Amino acid sequence: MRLRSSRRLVVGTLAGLALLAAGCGSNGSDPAPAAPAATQPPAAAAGMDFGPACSAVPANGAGSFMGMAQDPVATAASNNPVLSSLVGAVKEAGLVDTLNSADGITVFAPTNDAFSALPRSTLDAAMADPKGLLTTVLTYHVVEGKLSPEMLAGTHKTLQGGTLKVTGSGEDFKVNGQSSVVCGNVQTANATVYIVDNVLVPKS
Amino acid sequence: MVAGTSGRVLARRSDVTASRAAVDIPAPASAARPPAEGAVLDLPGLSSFYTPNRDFYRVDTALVVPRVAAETWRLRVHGRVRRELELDFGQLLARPLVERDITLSCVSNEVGGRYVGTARWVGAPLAELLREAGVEPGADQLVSRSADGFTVGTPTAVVLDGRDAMLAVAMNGEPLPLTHGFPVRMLVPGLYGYVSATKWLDDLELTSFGDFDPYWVRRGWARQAPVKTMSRIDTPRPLARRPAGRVAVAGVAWAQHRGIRRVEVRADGGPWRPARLAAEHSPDTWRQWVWPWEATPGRHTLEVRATDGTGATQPEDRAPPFPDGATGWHSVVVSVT
Repeated sequence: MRLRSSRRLVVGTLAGLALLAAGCGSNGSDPAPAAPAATQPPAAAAGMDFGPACSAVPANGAGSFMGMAQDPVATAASNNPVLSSLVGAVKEAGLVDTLNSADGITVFAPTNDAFSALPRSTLDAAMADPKGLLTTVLTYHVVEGKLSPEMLAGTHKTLQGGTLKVTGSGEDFKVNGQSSVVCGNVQTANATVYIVDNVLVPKS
Repeated sequence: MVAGTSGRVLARRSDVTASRAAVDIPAPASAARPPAEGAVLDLPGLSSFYTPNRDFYRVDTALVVPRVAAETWRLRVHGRVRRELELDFGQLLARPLVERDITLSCVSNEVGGRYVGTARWVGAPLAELLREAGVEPGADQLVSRSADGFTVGTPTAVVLDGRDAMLAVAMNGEPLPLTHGFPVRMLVPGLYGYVSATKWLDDLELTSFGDFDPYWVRRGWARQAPVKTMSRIDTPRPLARRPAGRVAVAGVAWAQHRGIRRVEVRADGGPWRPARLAAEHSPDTWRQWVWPWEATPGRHTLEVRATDGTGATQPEDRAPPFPDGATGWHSVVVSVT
């Protein structure tokens, strides 16, 4: 995905979603020699995140456990200013724990600009119905299983029940023909995240 | 302050694997009771009472797992003690060992997180060892060190208050796995791991809180960190789809060393309903619970909260893991068709 200069995301604000390829927070007695990534860029353990909007800036913050415990997806997103609208919506819908506790999911995460681009009336209607419409829209962005970039293209069933379709390859992907992946294959403890530039809307 | 490494040699991986294979843990002088019938629930999707070693969480700062052979392991007990002690692995195993079931949890565990587990541990009681050394007045912090230099600070008074603090050598029937601290780790029921559960234990120093800040305390985490009461829904999973009718909502609750008195569950912010708890096995372990929910079609939010043995109920307010442990009622959204 080549970042168009007219929609430049603030580079370096994707802190918190840096790959934490830690030997920490993993299971078992088999010594996987991965490093706690407190001060390291994303490792190649599960493939690099792609897209010029991605940055290898690790999460900061006094006393963070970054590099020891990998953050689950809602927490990781809350460290990222580019996703603050999404995080607000997730909190409003009461989905923080649900997303954090889910085992192995893929999340298409709309940027703040994506939320700003929604018609005001749509956004207001969703926020006024957090357990209904808002939850429906948000869970439409979640697919079971952690999709690698190689697995991304195709039709996927979302946890909302409807399907979405990803087209493209390499580092260029579009969801439902209208939302581009601007930073992909970002690893969090329980989710692979693809940041997208438009909110996905389920049919009906 | 002189680094406390006790002169042991870091071995090659094959040496340590062989060393571990050769370890023979003696039968404990004080064995653990098997859980009573009714203290263990076995339901699909519910965490098993004992967490197998291969599934047990691992959180540490070890870039490479320290490789310490049992044959060359030494532990020095020094600092503000009347008498310095040094023991090797054979001497440690020759002490009267205890076997106890203990739930261990990480301060970095988020609400609903997986950084908690229960195992059967065998080890030498730590309080007895400290009493042999003779702790001097004012030595209120026990600083323990790992072979890789990691440091942990534990209140001396907590170690000496009668709970089953131990230097553990076995986990779920086998010598400690390498990633879980072989050959020796510390355990103190009721405290988060970062202030109690030193792996690859290398050194014990009696000092004071005023005189030394351990690794995570230097990074802003709390000096004192008793575990906060917590509960978790294991099943149904987040965003699961279930048919309408009876759904077994089940999970675990823990407040180590205080015990769990009650667990309650509610759907969609409705009235709290008491869950059925497995019989208490020990105040130092978690308790499994189950709530039979009559689920009607639609999307629902399930929440759980626990009350500990002192009668204190988990607060609703969310606190993040930093600096002394997360709080909040775990919630899971599910769809019923």
